[in-house]
Amino acid sequence: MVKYTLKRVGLALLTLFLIVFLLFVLVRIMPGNPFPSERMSAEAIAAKRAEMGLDDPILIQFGRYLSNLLRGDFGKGTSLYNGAPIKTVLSTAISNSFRIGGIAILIGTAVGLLLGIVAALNRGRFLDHFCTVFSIIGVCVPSYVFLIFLQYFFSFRIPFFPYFFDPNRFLFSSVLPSLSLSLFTMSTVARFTRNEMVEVMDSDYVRLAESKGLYGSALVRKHILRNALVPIVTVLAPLIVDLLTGALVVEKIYGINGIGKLMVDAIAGEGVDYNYVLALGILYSALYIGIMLVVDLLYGLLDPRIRVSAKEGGS
Amino acid sequence: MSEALLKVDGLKQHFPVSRKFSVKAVNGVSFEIYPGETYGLVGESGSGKTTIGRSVIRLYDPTAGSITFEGKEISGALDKDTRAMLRRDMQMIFQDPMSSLNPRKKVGDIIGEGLDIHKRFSSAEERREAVGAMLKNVGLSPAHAERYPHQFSGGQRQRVGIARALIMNPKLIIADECISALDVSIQAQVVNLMKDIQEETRCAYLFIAHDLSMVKYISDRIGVLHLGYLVETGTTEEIFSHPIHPYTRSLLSAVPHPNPEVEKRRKSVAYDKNAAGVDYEKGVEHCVGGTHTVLATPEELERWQRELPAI
Amino acid sequence: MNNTPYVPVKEDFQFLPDRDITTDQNFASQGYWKGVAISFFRNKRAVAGLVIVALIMFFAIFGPMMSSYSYKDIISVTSAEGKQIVAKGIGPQISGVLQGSGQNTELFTDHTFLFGTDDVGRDLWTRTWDGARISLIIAFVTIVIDMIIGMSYGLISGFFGGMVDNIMQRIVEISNSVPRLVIVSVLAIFMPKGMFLVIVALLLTEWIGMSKISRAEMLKLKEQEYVLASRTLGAGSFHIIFRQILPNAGVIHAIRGVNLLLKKGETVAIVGESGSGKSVTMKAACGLLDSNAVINSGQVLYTYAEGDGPEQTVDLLKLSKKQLRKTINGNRIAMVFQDPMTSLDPTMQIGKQIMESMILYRGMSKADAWKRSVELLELVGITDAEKRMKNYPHQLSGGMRQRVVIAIALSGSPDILICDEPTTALDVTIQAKILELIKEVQDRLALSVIYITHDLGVVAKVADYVNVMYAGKIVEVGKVDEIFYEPAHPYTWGLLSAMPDLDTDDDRLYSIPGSPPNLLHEPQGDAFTPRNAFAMRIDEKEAPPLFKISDTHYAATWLLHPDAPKVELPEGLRARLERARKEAEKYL
Repeated sequence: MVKYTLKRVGLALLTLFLIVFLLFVLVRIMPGNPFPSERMSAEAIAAKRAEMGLDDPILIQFGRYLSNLLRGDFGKGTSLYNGAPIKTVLSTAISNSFRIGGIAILIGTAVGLLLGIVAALNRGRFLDHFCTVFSIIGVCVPSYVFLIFLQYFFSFRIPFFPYFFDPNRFLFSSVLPSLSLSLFTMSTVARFTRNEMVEVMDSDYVRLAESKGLYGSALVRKHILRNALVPIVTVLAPLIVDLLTGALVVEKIYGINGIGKLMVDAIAGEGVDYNYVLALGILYSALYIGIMLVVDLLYGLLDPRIRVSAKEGGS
Repeated sequence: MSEALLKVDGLKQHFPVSRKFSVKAVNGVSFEIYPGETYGLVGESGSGKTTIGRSVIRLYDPTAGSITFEGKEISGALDKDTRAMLRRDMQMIFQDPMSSLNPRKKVGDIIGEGLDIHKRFSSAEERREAVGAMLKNVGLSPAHAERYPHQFSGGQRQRVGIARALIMNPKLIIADECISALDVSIQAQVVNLMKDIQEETRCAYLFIAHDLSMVKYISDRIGVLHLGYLVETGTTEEIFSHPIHPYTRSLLSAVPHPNPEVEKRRKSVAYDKNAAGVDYEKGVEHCVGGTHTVLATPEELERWQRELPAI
Repeated sequence: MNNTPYVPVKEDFQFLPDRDITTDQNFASQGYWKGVAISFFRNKRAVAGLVIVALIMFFAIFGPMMSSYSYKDIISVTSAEGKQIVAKGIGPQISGVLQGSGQNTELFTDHTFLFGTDDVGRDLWTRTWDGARISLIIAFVTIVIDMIIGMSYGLISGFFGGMVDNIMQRIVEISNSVPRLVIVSVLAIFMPKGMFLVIVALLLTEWIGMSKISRAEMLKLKEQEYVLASRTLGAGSFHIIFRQILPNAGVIHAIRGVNLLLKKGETVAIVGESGSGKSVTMKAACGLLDSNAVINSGQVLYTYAEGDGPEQTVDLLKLSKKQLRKTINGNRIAMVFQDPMTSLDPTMQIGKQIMESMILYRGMSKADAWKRSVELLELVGITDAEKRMKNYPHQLSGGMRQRVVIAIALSGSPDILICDEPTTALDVTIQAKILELIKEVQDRLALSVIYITHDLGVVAKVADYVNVMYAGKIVEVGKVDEIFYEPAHPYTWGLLSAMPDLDTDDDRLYSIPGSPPNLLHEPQGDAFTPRNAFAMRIDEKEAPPLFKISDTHYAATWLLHPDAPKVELPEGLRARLERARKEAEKYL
């Protein structure tokens, strides 16, 4: 297990480093102008460039960037927020996105598991079909469409929830966006859980457990769920990353100052704000790699075939 | 005695699993097969018998040792001619009738595959006739050439597998557990078919199996494998009437006889290699008469021969 | 089944002429793609989905052409006073004189806009389908290109394996770690924003998923035997394979009337080949059938006494699943399955698996259950039992796992042990030990055992009584000596002849021609008729009842009818049975 962990962590760090390097190089060597040329004169641009060290050789720039990065300093934006330090902007954005995304993950996973288990236990009957249809709809309907739907019913028709995000009433105004974001996760988890459980339910060892006299909730808890959950953990990883990083449209519609909105703003202007793109790119990739790593390790913990090597105990 | 058709000498097959550890599937196995005879290779799981079959037909690259077929060395790199000769004169029948036939191809195309690759026939008509004749040979009908594998039963698919191997007119057929996955009554059908074919074409068989009674029935000579070592070999008569190696004896004693009164009173003889202190690496091939050889150190051999007759 | 027994006439007992069995019509003759199409169209949801997709694509391609306005036109209405008002946000029906903007200044009256107009005045119907068209183009182009790239990448990576695969997979992992949004934003730095950018961004990310799938398939297929077979034939190329979809099978009549008797302390064997229904019979008795199985009729009567209480008889088929589990499974009837590799829960320690039912249903404390489990492990011959309790199944060999399965079966102190091919998946030396173990345990605990097997050698070793099954029915039943030394049914003759024993010196092994029926349709008459060398006319018409040979020996063959012709055993079998009897006499 220790070897497994070390190998995985090492690989993750290496990949992250490579990506940071690649992104950095790509962003820096791209043609185009990071500064809004209309607003600034040629000399001002040249001065800004010198200030930011944009004309130094690439490797030196990278070294500088990396050392700053390790201290948590992402530099300053080139066009957004009037050159405010990226770090401060980023931290508010992260806290918003992560909190809403986190609630969405919790709701999505919990409800999804429940739906999947119910569907599997009622295989072939009405509840199963109902959950399957629900899952299909949930996977096909984009989160922002669902959000508008929710806004229509629960902000307009029944004026209960706010139309837009209000940081002062955080929990209350995060209900609609997190609900809409959770739909996809809920449906994917439900479908996957159902299929895994059904497969486990048909396996020899469950048959043996039944022949021992096991039934009902004990059987489900002790044998079916434990084996079905192991692969579900792997499916959760990309879902979580998606939720934390891909909520842009929802954020834009609902007016949430999250990292999605930040990314859009960075690109949508006439010039692209390089430093934000770089910073966000690194953040997203780090997030992805980090979560995959956690899931990998979790997988190793859950499956005794990885955790305990076959050679121990002998045969 | 005529020239050996296949001569395996000191064959070793190791599969590296990690930098430090490799699976030693076959550890120095030597045997010969003469034209027109059936050599039975018998062993349990982990004995290396399937690996030997696949090494001989060069699906694997041997780690060490030499394999000579029709007088030519085939264990190293193969030149074009040798490879072509190998792919024609040596064929294999596989174990699983479900997965050994391409589900997407018609049976006629499966059987004719070898002909197509080696461009044996000039016209489609000739090819169709050849395939049809082969189908009849294995007890199916030429009309079956248009069907797909999933439309046949297990035994019939195995016949298709045999037809596919046969159509190349090979000198040696390696049958890798080709009846293990079949029902008892179907096993007998397939084995009878193989015997008939041998009579007709005088091809040799390397019959790899774990079912001793079937191996005894079909083989002229037998080799007993344990953990990658050939522990005993000889004619069927020699092995079954006076087995010497304790593993062979335990194997024989474990085979149930379909005779209730006898079988109920028999007890199997146990053999624990480690408890008996036997190290196969130290053993040497000793000839104990005729073609009967045993892998043992001189002390072990003397001890085991004293313990006869145990069965 | 008829209620009035059939009364045979003289002609019924004529032998059937020789039949050619090789061209049996058991299987549907139908091409692969045709089979795919049939199973697709049989599925209502699939058809519905196909229709919806087709409709959407239809409208995406032809929708904008169906309307008189383009998606850019701003529509205005000429009001009664002659003023031009932009038709903003209006529902379907617009009356009056309508005019588009830009190049489309044609006049229309009373037009219907199916989706209404948006708040700028544009026709939403055309806008929707125009947008759909763009999305579909993007999706189509990306998928087609990426499918080719991704699949080729995966196939190449999987096919070559080794170093090539390693490098290619590293590239995949790195590319995978960069979310799509980042790629879009990096591209946005120097590409103009628009459809092309989206396509390129998608192209750079979607291929990964495809490559993973095709690589996984390639890895599986490299080891498939038919690929190996192609290689042995000299083929250099590799085939692209699709997963096989077989058309639905329909209803299989697995058991067609089985009566079985088990007395206390006895060992009964059920012998049969595949399709005989032997496993299904016992699973049905224990309530362990798959959820799509239906039991049409019959009884399974189980008589037992609770402790010192009175004897009670219960029909197992009438009990609910819950009752079965609580009172019967594990407690009174336990099963041992065939494959020890898959019978144990891979995520639970074996000790826990043995203790489980003891703690849950017999109210034992954990400490007591632990002690008892260790005892059971020792009983089944596992050394170092205390240490082994904490092992996981993958740490044990096949033989040891089967011993654990037996220990689990014994944990509920059952009366009856049902062993379904318990040694088929094991080496023959281990098989002998496991069978001896079961016998030992049986003697020690006074168990009754039912063996399900196809191996006559195993039957000879363990059974007191034997039931021979064919095509869902019991065709012969009797004491083990009666079955082996005086078999009466042609199928039993066939089975005994088809097994070579260590004394056979025959040139030819007798084999039963043909193969077992697939039971999709209930056969008319005797199911064994097509393969029966001794079949008579009556076998085609009417299934034979069980004829009595002795108090313990019955066989379901018309050959035992008083009017039937006398039939000699095949010579090979007769000689063999002679030999067997002679050998047995040494012990009797």
